[in-house]
Formats: sequence, C-alpha cells, structure tokens
Amino acid sequence: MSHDDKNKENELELDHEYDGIKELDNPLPRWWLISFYGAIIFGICYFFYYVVGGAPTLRDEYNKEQEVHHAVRAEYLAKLGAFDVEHFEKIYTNESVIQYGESLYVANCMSCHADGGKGDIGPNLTDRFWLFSFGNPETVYPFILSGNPNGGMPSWSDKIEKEDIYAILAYVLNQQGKTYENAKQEEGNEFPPWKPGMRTEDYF
Amino acid sequence: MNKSTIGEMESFAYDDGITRKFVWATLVWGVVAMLLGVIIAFQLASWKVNLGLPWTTFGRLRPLHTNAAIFAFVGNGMFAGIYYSLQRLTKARMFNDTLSKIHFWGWQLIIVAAAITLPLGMTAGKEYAELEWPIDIAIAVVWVVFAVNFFGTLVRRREKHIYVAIWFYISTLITVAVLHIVNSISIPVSLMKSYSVYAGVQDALVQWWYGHNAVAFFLTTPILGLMYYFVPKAINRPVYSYRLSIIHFWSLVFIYIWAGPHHLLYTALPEWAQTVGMVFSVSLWAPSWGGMINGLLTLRGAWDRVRREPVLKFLATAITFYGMSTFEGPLLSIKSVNAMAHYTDWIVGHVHSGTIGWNYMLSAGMLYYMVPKLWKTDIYSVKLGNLQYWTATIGLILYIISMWVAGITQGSMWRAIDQETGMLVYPNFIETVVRIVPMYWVRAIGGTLVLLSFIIMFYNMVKTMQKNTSPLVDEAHKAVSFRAKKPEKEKGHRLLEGMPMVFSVLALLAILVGSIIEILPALMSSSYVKKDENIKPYSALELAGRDIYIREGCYVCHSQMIRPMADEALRYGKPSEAAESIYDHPFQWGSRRIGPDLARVAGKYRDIWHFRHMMDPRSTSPGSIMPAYPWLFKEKTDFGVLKKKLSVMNALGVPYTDEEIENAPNAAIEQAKAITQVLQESGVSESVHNKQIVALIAYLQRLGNY
Ligand code: HEC
Repeated sequence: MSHDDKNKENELELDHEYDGIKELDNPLPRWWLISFYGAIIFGICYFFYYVVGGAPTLRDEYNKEQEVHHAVRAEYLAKLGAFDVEHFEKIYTNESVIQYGESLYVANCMSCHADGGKGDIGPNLTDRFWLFSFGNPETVYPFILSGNPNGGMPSWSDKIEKEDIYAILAYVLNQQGKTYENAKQEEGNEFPPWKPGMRTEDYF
Repeated sequence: MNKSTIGEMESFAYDDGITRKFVWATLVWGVVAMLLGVIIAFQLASWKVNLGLPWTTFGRLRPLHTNAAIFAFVGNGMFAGIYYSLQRLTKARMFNDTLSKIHFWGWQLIIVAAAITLPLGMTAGKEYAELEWPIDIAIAVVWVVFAVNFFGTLVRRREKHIYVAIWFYISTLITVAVLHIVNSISIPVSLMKSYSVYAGVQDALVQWWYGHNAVAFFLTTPILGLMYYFVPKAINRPVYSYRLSIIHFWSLVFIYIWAGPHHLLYTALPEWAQTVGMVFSVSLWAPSWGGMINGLLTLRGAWDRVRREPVLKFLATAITFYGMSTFEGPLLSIKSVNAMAHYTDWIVGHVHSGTIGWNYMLSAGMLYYMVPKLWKTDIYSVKLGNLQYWTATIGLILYIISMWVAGITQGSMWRAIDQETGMLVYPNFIETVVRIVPMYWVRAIGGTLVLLSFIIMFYNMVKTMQKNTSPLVDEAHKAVSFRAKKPEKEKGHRLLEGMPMVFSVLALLAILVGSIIEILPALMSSSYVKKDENIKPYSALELAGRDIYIREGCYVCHSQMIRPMADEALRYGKPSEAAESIYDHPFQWGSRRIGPDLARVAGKYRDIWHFRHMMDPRSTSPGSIMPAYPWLFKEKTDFGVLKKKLSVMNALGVPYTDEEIENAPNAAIEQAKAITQVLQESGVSESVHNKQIVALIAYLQRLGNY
C-alpha cells in the first residue's frame, strides 16, 4: 500500500475500536448503491406489473402453452391418417413414428409388458409367440382396441386414439426379434415373423 | 469475577474452556457430517450402498446428513466463534459458566438424539426440521439458555457499543428462535410421532419461510458476524466500511425473511406470494454482496499474506464463495431460471457452494486462527494447512461443476418436447436418471476430497493442541467499564449501538414485518385455498401408508407438486391445485426429483407393479437408483394406532366422523384385505394384508385419485 493510501486511510479511520479492531468509514461503492436501489426498483415494478397490473399469470401462460401444444398434437395425428395395412407398411419403419410409438408405449403399455416389450405381467412382445393374434398388424390392431374381455389386457379403444395405436404397433413390431435379459418365457403359439406384404390369409 | 470500585480497572478473565469444548465438537461433528454426505453421495451413484437395511437407506440418512452439517457442524463452529469473540468484543466473561455448560452439553445431546432417531425413521417429515417434537422442545430450551447467557453477557459488558459482529449474532439468536418455534408446532400422536398443525399450502409456506431462513440466520448471519471478527483480527487491518456494515446489515435482515417462497415458484402457492418471494430474493443480491465487499476489501492490500497463511487463505476463499452463492441464489429465484433449475441437482450444487465454500472454509480459517491461541501454541503444520486447502477447493469445484452439469441435463431432458409429434422426447424418467449417474460419481469423488481435507484439518488441529505444554488457565485482563466513564454525546446508529436491548427489539421488528405479511394471510384467510368438494380425507389405511412414506423419507427423492408446464402435464398429468393437499399434515410437495413426481401416480401402475417395484426397483425399472424396501414386506402395519392418528387429524381440522375414527382399524384391515386379494390374483402367494407394503400401496394408489 502506498504512502498516500495510508494517509487517506488514517483520515477515514473512526475513533472507536473493539478488541483491537478498527473501522474505516469508506463511502459505499457507487456500483453497489446502483445495484442495491436498482434491484429494489425492479422488484417494485415487477411486483406491481404482475400482481396488480394484470400481466398474464403463470396459469395464463400455461393455458397458452397448452393451446399451442394441442394444436401441434392435432396436426401430427391428422398427418398419421386412418389405419390400413398398406399405409401402415409405408410408415412403420419411419423413425419418428417409431419414436412416437415408443413414447406412447412407455406411457401406456410398459407397466405390464415391461421395458422394450420383454414381457412381465403381460406377455413378451419381442418373440414370435402370440396368445390372441397371429402377430401381424391386421390381427394385433383389433386386439389392442378390444382387449381381452376375460381380464388381463384392457381395451384401449376409448383410451388411446386409433391413430396412436398405429404408432404403438409400429414400435412393437420393430421390437420383434430383439433380445432382452430376463425376458419373459414364450407363451401361446408360434407364428412366422410378419413382413410387409404378408396378409392374414397367408397364415392359414 | 473480581469487581472493584467504580472508576477503577476491573479485572476479569474470559471463559476459553467453553470455546475449546465447542472447537472439539466442531471438529468431531464436521467429520461425521461430511462422512454422511459422502455415503449418501455414493448411494445415488450406486444403489447398493443403501445396504438393504432400513436405517442406512438414502431417505433416512439424507436428513441426518443435513441436520449434522447445519446444526452439528456449523452450529458448534458458530458457538465456538461466538463464545470466543463475544467475550472479547464486550470485554466481559460469559454471563454464567453453568449456562454455558448447559448450552454445550444440551446441544451435543440433541445431536446425539438426532443421530439415533433419524435413522430409526422418527421424523416430522419437514425438510431441515425433521426432528420430532420432544427434541424440538429440547432445542427451544437450549436456545433460550444460550440467549439468556448471551444477553446476560451484553448486560454486563464493559464496552459500551456493540460491534457489527454482535449485531449479526443478535439477529441470529432472535430469528432462529422465532423460526424454530413457529415451524415446529405440532400435535403429538405418540412420544416420537406428531402431525404438523399446518397443512398443504400453509405448511409449505411456513416450512420454506423456516427453511430458507435457516440458511439465512443459521448459515449466513452468524457466519458474517464471525467474518467481521476474525477477518480484521487475522489480517490486523481495519474493516473497510462502517457505513456499509450498517446498510448491509439492516437490509439483509429485513429482506432475507421475505425470500422463502422462491422455493415454491410455480407451485400451488398463490402467485402474489411467489412474486414477493422472487423480488425480495433478487433484492438480496446487493445486501449480500455488501458483506462480501466489506470482507474482501478489508483483506485488500495484504494479498501476499493471503497467499501464504492458511488462516487468510481460507477466509478469503470463504468470502469469495459467499459472493458466488449469493449471486447464484437470486439468479435461481428468477421465475424462468427456476422453471429449469427447480427439482434438479443444480440446487444441490448451489447449497454446497454455500455450505462447503462459505461455511466450511470460514470455519477452517477461524479454527486456524483460534486453536493456536486457545491452546497457547503455534499451528502444527502450515504445509498440511495448504494441503487441506487445495484438497477442499478441488473437491468443492468437482462438486459444483458436476451438479451444474447434472442439473442442466435433467432440466433440459425433462422439458424436451418433440416439436413434430408434440410428445416428450424422454418419456421414460429413468433415461434422465441413467444419464446423470456419471455426474453422481464425480460428485461423490469431490465430496470424498472435501471429507479428506477435513480429516487433514482434524489431524493438524489435534497435533497443534498436543504441542501445548503449559496449563490452560484463563488469563486475567483488565479494563474500565464504560459505566465508569463520562458518557459521550452520540446520535444515529452509534447511539443505537450503545443500547443492545433496543437494538434487539428493532431487529425483531425487522424480521417480523416480512413474516407477518407473508404468512398471516395463509393462516387466517379461508379464501387462500380454493376448496374442492371432491377432495376427501385419506382412508385410515392410506394414512398409515402415508406415515410409512414419511418415515422412509420418500419425499427427499420424490416431489408431489406438478407445475403448470406443458412437459409436466404430459409426464405427470394436470397441474396440482392447492385444494388437493389441504389434508396433508405435513405437506409432501418435496423439493427434488431424483425420482418422478408422484402427485398423480394413482392408477398409473397396477398394485402388483408397486409390490415388485418396492421389493426391487430394478425388476420393474432397469437402471433405477431407488433403494429397495424389503422390510416393508416383513414389518406389520400398526392398525391399533390408527384411531389415535385419525383423532389427532380430526383435532387439526380434517373432517373425520366419530364413527370413522372409532372404526379406523377395522376399515383399514378391510381395505388391506381387498388390496391383498388383487395382489393374489396377480400371483402373489403370501397373505400380506397386515404388512406395511399394502398400506404404502394404498397410499400410492390414492395420490391424485379422489
Ligand atoms: C434415492 C432416491 C429415491 C428414494 C429414496 C425413493 N425413490 Fe422412488 N424412485 C426413484 C427413482 C430414480 C425412480 C425412477 C425409476 C424407477 O421407477 O424405479 C423412482 C420411481 C418410483 C415410483 C414410480 C413412479 C413412476 O411414475 O414411474 C414410485 C411409485 C416410487 N418411486 C415410490 C417410492 C416410494 C414409496 C419411496 C419411499 C418408500 C421411494 N420411491 C423412495 C428414486 C427414489
């Protein structure tokens, strides 16, 4: 510290002292004062704008966000179109359809059919054994819609949009042949793997 | 004390024995608190570290870690520093040696009680206020003992004016008492079980008013007081600005108390209260930095010494981290930043840059200063001090950075919505867990380094103490009491500094303003929460399950509060409403999502899924880091106590009829049997209706289902 600084410090020194501790009386730094008052002024303006001034509430913002979001969903679902085999064959290898199907699978099916469809409470969906269908989209689709009236598989027709089942099916059929640790043992009858072009009558 | 006639030198001695005791307690509990922290850090990196035992699982040890770090480690350190500095700043011995001893041993007993009861699952279920009612009462009593001793010393002071360090101590004493008592009010069900008198949104507000101000008035103000004593003493230079002390003290104390609701942004708390919490938090930045400036600028001009001496190195680093975390805090309180950061590990990193960066570093600087003086010797090894410093700093930096990365990763993965399909990009929560596990390893390693650094200090301090050869007697000092001097003419704040009791009353008023304006409407007004007729109280069995949920500390990993955001609506369902938790004594909104939100988990899975998941989370959710709870399948539900539980709830205003209370055990058994039957249909062979797992399933299947 320079000599001048020392002199200045002596001028600022207050005459009191506690256990040898002295205090200077430096003025408050200007930038500090600006940020101090600045934050308080900001706070007052912000409070009045949001609480009294009629600014959109968090719920308003949420509702707007939901509106946009629902529009995106509706547009996407419209694009998927209605179920028919030929259309399914065109889209079922599409990555974004599969990914969309996976997210629906996770939300709706995974709690029984487990991760990837390896089976748990419900049967394994990755093998070639099927209990209630032939394992081709034409017979799996109506089963998902109706479920098993005797319990186990619920009916999904009023829970998931038909077009969404389409995407789930795309995901599930793409899981065929994948192997998982602790996969559930085979149940039902064995069917040949479905390939595009195969129709239900080919199974007889 | 040797009191001589007025006008003459009085001679007296400081009680340094009590300070030495508190120093020991700080060192011992510091190791314990950090060891617990390291254990739970590894538990998140690898679930196996939970050991499969009830008393070693994350949900029970995490509250023990936070209690040990805050109340045992920082608490004892604060007391050591206050007992040391208060006597010297007032030129008076502590008011009463017996009170000092009761304070010391009482506090240690409370810590031991916490260390026994928390792992046993005896918890009030409120974060940072988990201890059950008998311990809460003990805390209040010991705190009052401390306060009497403290204010008694002020009455007997020989120095007329109280120095800024003492202002901060006063604010701590008063505010902690108010916070602790108001937040802990509950009605006992049994010796170690009680229900908070507050419910839902009220409880959330009171709890975070308490929780945030525990940070403010237990981890910040007393430590600022210590800074104001030990920094100028250690560097032997005057404090930079007296004027700044005054302004930043009063603004800090007045503003801090309002900031609690920033823990509840986007929740069901009324929006005006959220906005108040946010703007006061932002306004806290400058007052906090006032303390930092005063600390750092006091060190100015002697940076070469800071580089050499461990005492100054720790103090300077502490102040720097204080500055960093008090900048980060206001930032995290801004709604849009909070939307991303809340419930993530970023918050955990933030807290640790405060507790390790500020509290630990400052305590270390203080101990390096005090221990040689208290034991009348020199420090054993400066080299070890430097080694400790670098180990701690590197550990802390690993900690903070890993938690930033983890927090921002979680926040962005949870919120990601595919712009084309309008669906979540990561619909399966577990993906977001698996992604950050590597960061949990880095954090655990960082934490281990911090623990190691503390053990180095422990060793260094013990060696220093052992160097002492002369007997430790309290030295005699002489001074003239201010009462014997001619009074000076004073005005303004200086006048106030000569009147500690008036000062204390003003400090009390300063914290009451914010407290009353924020909390009173929640307690008084029935319009605070919009009622919903559909929401019924929990059934007896669900209540039993809820108490298991609280006992196991599920709330430290799971929130029950869905925020109004598109991604949360997709993942968890519609936003939570305040009315949904009006019967929740205490509220369980949580503050962290290590696992998914559970506010609407009812019906998402079948009972059998929960049954298997609780037995072994990896069986239903590969990659999960949730602990297994095998004991819930062996321990029985206490149906008998349910009558008492329902009647306590009834006393708290939950509308149970007399018949429901009377019939509680039978109704619970009935419901348990119905659930058991469903489980048996899904292949469970044992009869489990009287086991705790069934009560827990009943509770989980009720969350969000009315
Ligand atoms: C260490 C943190 C941790 C603790 C403690 C913890 N959980 Fe979890 N929990 C998780 C994680 C991570 C997941 C997500 C992966 C999974 O399903 O296991 C999870 C998932 C869940 C789920 C499934 C939620 C869903 O929507 O998929 C439930 C239900 C659940 N936990 C209940 C509990 C209960 C009850 C307790 C207390 C007895 C508890 N958890 C304690 C971390 C934890």
